[in-house]
Amino acid sequence: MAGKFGKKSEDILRNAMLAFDAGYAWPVHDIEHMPMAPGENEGDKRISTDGNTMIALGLIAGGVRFGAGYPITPWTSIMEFLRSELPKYDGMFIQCEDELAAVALALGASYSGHLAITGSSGPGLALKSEAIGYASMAELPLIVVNIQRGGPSTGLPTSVEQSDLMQAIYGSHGDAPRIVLAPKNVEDCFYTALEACRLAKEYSTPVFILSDQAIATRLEAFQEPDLDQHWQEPTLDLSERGEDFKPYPLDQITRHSPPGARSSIAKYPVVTGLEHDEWGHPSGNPENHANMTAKRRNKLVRLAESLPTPVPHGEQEGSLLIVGWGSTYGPIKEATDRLNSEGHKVGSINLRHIHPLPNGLGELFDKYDHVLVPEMNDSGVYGYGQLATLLRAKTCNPKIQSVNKVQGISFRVLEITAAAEAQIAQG
Amino acid sequence: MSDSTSAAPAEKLTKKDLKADHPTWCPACGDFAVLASFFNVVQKLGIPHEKIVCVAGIGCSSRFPYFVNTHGIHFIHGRALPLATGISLSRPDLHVFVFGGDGDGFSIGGNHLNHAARKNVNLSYVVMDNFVYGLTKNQTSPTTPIGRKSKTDPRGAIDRPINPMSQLISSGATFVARTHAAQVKHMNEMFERAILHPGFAVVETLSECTMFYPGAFDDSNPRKGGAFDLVDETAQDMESVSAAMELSQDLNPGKFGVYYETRRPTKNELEREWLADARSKIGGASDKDLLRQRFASMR
Repeated sequence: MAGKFGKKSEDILRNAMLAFDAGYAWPVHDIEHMPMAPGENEGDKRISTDGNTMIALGLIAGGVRFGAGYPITPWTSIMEFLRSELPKYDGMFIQCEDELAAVALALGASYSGHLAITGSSGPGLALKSEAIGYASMAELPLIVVNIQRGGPSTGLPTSVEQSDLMQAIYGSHGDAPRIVLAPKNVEDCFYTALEACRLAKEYSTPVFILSDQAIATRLEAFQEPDLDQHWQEPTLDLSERGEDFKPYPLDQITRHSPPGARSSIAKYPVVTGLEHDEWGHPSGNPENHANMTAKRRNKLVRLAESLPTPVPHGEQEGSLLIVGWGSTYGPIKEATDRLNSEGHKVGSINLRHIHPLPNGLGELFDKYDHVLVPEMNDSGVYGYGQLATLLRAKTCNPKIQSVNKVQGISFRVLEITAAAEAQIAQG
Repeated sequence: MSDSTSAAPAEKLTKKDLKADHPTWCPACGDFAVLASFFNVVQKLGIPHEKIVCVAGIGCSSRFPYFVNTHGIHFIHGRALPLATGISLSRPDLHVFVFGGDGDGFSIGGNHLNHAARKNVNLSYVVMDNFVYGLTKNQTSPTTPIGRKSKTDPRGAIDRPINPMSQLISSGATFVARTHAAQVKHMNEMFERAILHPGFAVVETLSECTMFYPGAFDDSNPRKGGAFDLVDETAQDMESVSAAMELSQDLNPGKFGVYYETRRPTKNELEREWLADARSKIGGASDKDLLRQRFASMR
């Protein structure tokens, strides 16, 4: 241990020795009750870190070189990390005077042709929501990270909750579609961030990464990502735009001409939050507003068509499907395995794509007698959690039931198996 | 994030090149003169057409980007300055101009004004101050004088108006000037000096709302019997905060010209300095290798 930790501070070595002693002194008969199984895939390319770090690293690998934020728990460690790391990658992260300035700075960089990120936790996202709606209207790519904590208001700043799902999807005035993704564990933070970068560019719209306090701060070990496969080089397209350039074409996804890009006919565009025609001029024309609203919404319809229907863990059909999102992935997976080992026929899925939802969920739900949605948010006035409400609206499937927990702590496996068994017992 | 400046020669811009949609402003609005002055100065300075960016929030004057044929962005109420900060910091090759009114800049966006000023972000900001909310039709603004009646102060304004000059000076703006939309030559000069200033340059431009506050600036308009008093720059230490503060105490109608001008490292320069230093320490590794090294340290 001195060999492993000796080069670090005395405190670290002392703590390690204390931990060793505590473990050595633990009564052996207690250990017999701990199931110990060897880990899988113990190659030397395994790394360990927390979820916030993996989001930050995923953003760098995805081509993000500019960001802006304001301190709030548990988001802060992402901005601290990017503030010191991005300069090495020829980028910058700016600490702002408030949340509104932070999202505005990020949008300024995005308008300038960079892929940019802002982020926060629940209350900060509430403050940013006007500008996120602007990004949807003006069709600017933007990555928005929300590390959820207990709400509403100041709530439980250091506890876990999944109660910002509706805020992420609908938290702006007007019809302001945006993409919402949720990572399931620390490793997945990296790949979710990469996908967020790809989708923001491809659809020129805001993309949320909806993580939570549990994933943000816990340590996990996993296989090092293969950068040759995943690396996305940052781009800044200042090529000259031709005479047929339109900032808001109705029949195509918007591709902005950033400042600095010449126009061959010397006509320069205005990017705007006023409803606009294809050339960016303000327009109150009734038909135009309907067409432009559809244009912004149809980007998400197109994305949904490209998403694969999730393949369940466990049974592919049977008595119960458990549907989760975010950090409930672990307890749901374990509950599924336990239920199946007890003779039930249970499958489970974890949805990364929260908005839009992938197609095919209705058909998948039909393969099970019951659908149970565990969520760390309130069951609400009508008895369903936030994702369950959306799933019921999308599939009109009355089988969908909720199990909710709002104690600021993650689900225990037993809580999920108990709710599952209660559902199954109804026949 | 390096500047990928295209090496196209700067063509000589004409007013025709710069004109876009016809302004939606009311007849005789002071903002027409501001627009004309901006065209003049941009033509004179020979800035490449595609490098000009006009940024605005919400308000009558914030419609500015639609009336100028340059790259432009019309943002949300009060946040033009932080948006422009993002443009300026991430694209040092651009010339960033922010336009807005007293409500956008001093009220809903007041906090951003203080911070953009203290950070000395490199951009030029023209506040078209008309002492009233015009787009929403005559409510009290943060610069409305005490006693002036509006739809939200039917008995006359009771709140002390802010003093834009002393606020800008104390918050750290490095170029603070005041002009009048009816004084075209003076306005041209102030805009030109603001554009050439490296750092956060603000020109408060008194611009009459002929619809809801006609005559607001007659006392500083010689054609309406007022006096257009100029700051005597030869008699003043332009880098003295206390002298500038002294000058800013009386703005009724007060003096016109540059109140304060100094050179301090810009946010842009300071951030780039760190960036260059960080890049010099990585020994020419590619971005991808750099991230691989980071992963290796996490094994």
